[in-house]
Amino acid sequence: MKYGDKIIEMQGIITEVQDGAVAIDLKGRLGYIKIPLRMLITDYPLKVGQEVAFKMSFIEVINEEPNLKYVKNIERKEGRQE
Amino acid sequence: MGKVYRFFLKMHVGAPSKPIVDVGDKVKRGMLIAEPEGLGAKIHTSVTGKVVKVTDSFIDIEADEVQTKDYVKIKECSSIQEAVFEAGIVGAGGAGFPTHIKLQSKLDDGYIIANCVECEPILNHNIYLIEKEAAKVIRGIKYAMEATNAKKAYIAIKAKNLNAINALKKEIKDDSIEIKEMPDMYPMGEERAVIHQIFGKWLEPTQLPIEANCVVLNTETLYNIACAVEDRKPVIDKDITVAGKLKKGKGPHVLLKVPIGTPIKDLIDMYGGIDGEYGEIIIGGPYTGKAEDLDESYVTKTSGGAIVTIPLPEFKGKLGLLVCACGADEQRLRDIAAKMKSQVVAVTKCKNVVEVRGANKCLTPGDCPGQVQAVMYLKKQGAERILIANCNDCTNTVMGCAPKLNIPVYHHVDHALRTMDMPIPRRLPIDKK
Amino acid sequence: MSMSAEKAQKYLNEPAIVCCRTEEGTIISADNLEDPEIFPDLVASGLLNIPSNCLKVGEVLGAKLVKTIDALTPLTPDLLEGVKVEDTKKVEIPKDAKAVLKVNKKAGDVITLEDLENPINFEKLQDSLLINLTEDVLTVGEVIGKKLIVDAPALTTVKPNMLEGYIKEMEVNNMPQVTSQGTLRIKIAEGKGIDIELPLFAPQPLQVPQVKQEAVSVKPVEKAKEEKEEYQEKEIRRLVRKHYKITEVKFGPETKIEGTTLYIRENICQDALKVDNLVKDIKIDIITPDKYNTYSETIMDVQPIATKEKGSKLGSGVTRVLDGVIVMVTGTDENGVQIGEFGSSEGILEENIMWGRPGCPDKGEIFIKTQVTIAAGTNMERVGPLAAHKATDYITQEIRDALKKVDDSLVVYTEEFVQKRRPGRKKVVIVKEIMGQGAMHDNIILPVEPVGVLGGKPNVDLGNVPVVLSPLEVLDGGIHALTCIGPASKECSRHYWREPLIIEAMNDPEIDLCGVVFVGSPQINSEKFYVSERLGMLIEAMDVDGAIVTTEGFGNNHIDFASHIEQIGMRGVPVVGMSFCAVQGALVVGNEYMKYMIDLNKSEQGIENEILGCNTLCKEDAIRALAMLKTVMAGEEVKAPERQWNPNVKENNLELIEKTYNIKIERVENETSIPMSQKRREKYSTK
Repeated sequence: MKYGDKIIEMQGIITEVQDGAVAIDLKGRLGYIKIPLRMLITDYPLKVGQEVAFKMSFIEVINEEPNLKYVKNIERKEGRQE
Repeated sequence: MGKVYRFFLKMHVGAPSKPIVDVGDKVKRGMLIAEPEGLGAKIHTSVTGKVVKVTDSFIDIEADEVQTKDYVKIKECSSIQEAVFEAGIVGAGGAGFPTHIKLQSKLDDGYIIANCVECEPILNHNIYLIEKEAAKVIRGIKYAMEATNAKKAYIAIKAKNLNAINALKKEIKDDSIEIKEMPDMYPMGEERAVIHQIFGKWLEPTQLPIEANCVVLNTETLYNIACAVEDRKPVIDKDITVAGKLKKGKGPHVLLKVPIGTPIKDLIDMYGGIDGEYGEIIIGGPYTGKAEDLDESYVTKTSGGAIVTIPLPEFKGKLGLLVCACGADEQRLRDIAAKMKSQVVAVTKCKNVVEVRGANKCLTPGDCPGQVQAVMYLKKQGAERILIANCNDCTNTVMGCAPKLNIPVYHHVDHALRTMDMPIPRRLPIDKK
Repeated sequence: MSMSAEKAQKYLNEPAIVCCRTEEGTIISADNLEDPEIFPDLVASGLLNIPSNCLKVGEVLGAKLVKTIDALTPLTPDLLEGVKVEDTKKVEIPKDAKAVLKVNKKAGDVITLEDLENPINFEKLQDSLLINLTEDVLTVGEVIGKKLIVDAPALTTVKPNMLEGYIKEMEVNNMPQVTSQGTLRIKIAEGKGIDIELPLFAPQPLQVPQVKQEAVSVKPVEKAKEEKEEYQEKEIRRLVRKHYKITEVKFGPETKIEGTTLYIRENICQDALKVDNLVKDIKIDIITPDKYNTYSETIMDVQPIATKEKGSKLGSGVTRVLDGVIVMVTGTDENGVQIGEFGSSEGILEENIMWGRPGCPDKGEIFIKTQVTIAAGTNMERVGPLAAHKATDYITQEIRDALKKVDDSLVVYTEEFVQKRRPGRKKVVIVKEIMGQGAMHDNIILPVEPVGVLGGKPNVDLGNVPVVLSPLEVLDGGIHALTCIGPASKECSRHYWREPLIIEAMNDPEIDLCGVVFVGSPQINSEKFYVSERLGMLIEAMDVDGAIVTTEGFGNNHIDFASHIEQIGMRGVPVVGMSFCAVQGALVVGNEYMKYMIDLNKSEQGIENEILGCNTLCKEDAIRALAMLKTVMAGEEVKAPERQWNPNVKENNLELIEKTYNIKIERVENETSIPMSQKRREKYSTK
């Protein structure tokens, strides 16, 4: 990674709470993430609308060529959904 | 009652100075309190306060609550020698020879030798001063050269003191000052040993450095010269190393600019006081220092260190003493032997020892004449073990014979160095380059 | 942030840098100094540049600042007055150095480290004939804390006959008398007939090899004389595993076992479907080794097929198990979304499995792989993954029922596990933290059948509070793992069936394993602390001498993991922690008791790769953890870790253990041993 040390603070809103995961909209139309519960640290019971914050760096593409394994997985999934 | 500082009237070679203050006088830091009579030096108070006691040998001054770094400046002087005299500068390395006398030498084509060889183990304050104040030390050398008309100066310093050497190099602007690197051994800092190392010849113990056309000045003395000339500051502060069994760590702790007259006990208390049982408090370095009573010790113009040692090892048997001019004298060795609870059965001197003006001097410091006779003599007198006070080279020689004669060997610096977890002198590699 | 005075004592040799703007004349104390732990980050971010002449913390404490300086200014000699220069390097006297008194001691004095001479001068002192380091001179480690029975001046070498403790020990060797409680009774004649009873192991501090996890180089203590001590082992219970070999799995009209062939009822899926209305579809693939290269949905679990014989309760009695075949649970929801979406380990089976890990299939085994489709959108709900497991268990149960009927003549071999207690040995407890955040972060504890569903209680429902299992209950399939994310670090159900730490600890004659505590990891911090405080009380009540705490994966479970260790550590119990850490799993929190850590990472890059089971606890980790715990319990020090993850530490420690115990430890392989697809190979080889 070239920019791994450029750390920025991100904030978001919990939009969905599932038994095993939470979904988070990043403020400022910066995206959406869904993470397993064990990756979320909280002092409070989880509720939709709670704000969260974390630090991240930029996401970089590390290889020009797509990884065929994942390409196949994605194609398979899309095929199934159609 | 405030803290009492004691100023000894004889902190130098020569006669005790004569007090010019009386009990009850108010004094300010830097003020003159004693004048020399004949050979000697002026003495100034390092604290502001009231004179509480004046005797033949010291002046006690009770310090005011509030003390400052400021001081009463010495008068404006027209020459360097005069400023040095007014400031009461004496050799800070231990001997205390009045510096203005040395600077009266005329050294056309001669040399100033800056003795930056801190050869007593444990002591560190000179090298530390150079690392911090190299420029001022160099300026001190320049003033000494100017005063004596010397064209050239050598700085003698141990090759191992890299940082200090680098600091000096940075400040040396022309080639009139040259650094001479010295091997790391005791007694490399002895005046005549330094001269031998630089010029390759031994002075007779009776000869003064001037006969080699040079004047040898210690690091701190040179610094004091610069202070006197530039800041008109008298000698009222001293650099000192405190080390040993102290509650806040054995150090060595370097204290720069400790007011002269400060009780040594205060310095030890600064580091939490003595940690448990102790053997001796050595004032000075392990080789030439003396064990002193803690309550009677004060910082003087020549104090180098205060070392609190572990107790001496007991040996309740017959001990022989081998005296050397470079280390402890007979009295000091007897003192140590008594503390070891040993019975002294014989005393002898290294054959290189000559007595000059009441002090032991070595013919060739750091160059051993052989010790086997001395050891054999002590054995013959019934010594089961021996206590020696030799320089590193002579110690090596002793180690070459005593163990073969089945005579265990103590060195008078062992307990101080063992306190510090430093290597004791035995068969040290000697680099006689 | 400034440091506390105690912390400063720990960092005496670290660079001294002020944390805040500091005024001229300040006497430097710990309050003024920045915590050295953050220096590497500051340096990395360019905030700090530590010059070569920067002083050490130990040198500046008590010194006076001569100039006002800004925050984060390194303290250099020109800024200070009264610096302790060149603080003679703290010479650590090694424990195996010979003991020579530094000071004069009297009879009755207890020897401390300060009383002993620094070995740097031994050679010279010997040379000067002042000491004679003969064979019988004891070592520093042996004499510290011992009482002298004679006056001894400085520079005396310490020998056994000068010490009180040693006479006792010599008598121990001369006339050992083992009582029925596994303790040793000795009578000291001189002591006017006092009877002393002491654990056999207590007075031998050097018994345990000095092994340190995060240590780069360690000197193993010379192994103390190999004594075959006798002690009383107490058998608690036994578990017999009868193994039945399966070489072929086929569909047939009914589920049955004939010889080494397992038949599965053709229409079994129709019935399995009815188990839960969330299950929309289920199919079974029989994966034989030639099909290892086929695609599979994400692997949710790997389970042994085992059943209890009639009358046997899980954890004791007789268990029947099929060899050569395992059950593998996989699935998606109706939208094709993987259950436990996050660990994208779907793909070609053989590229995604770390063969031979305790929780994984072994190469050559046949997989009965279910592919369960659950209702759309339930893949993240608790009911979804559970339904997939329940549907699969319906099939497994039918196999179990068939297994119950099989004749004993088909047993290929019988294995017996004996749980023993070893009174007198150090009492050790294993604490396994399991996921309890919900959904696929759940485990079913103690089902009726090994790794079954029925009868078991999900730890989430139990409130994640500590539950004690016997080691045999764990090994008998007492944990059905629903844990379904982080394939590389998750412990599948089969992991518990073959849990190496429990097996090693149970069979270690040097310790007394008293039980295994399972504690869940809830989501919310307050619940985490509630749970770990209960664990603390439980440990307190157990009166153990040592504990090992493990956790799987990383994330917020590290918060309670740290808290468990703290709760145990603060009760004075030495505790070793085991977790995947390496690069990616670096602990989010820490405390002063987290000194003894075993990293479970095996991956080359120190990250959570997608290979099933890659970073889970293996035998080599178990050996390291036990060696470390024994080291700590014996009062030996363990070196502090390096700042950056360094895989060599682990290798060094393993070598050390091999050397000390004279054993060979098999190193497990990692992802580099797995075949790469042609495309992948090309990509990596051109890199």
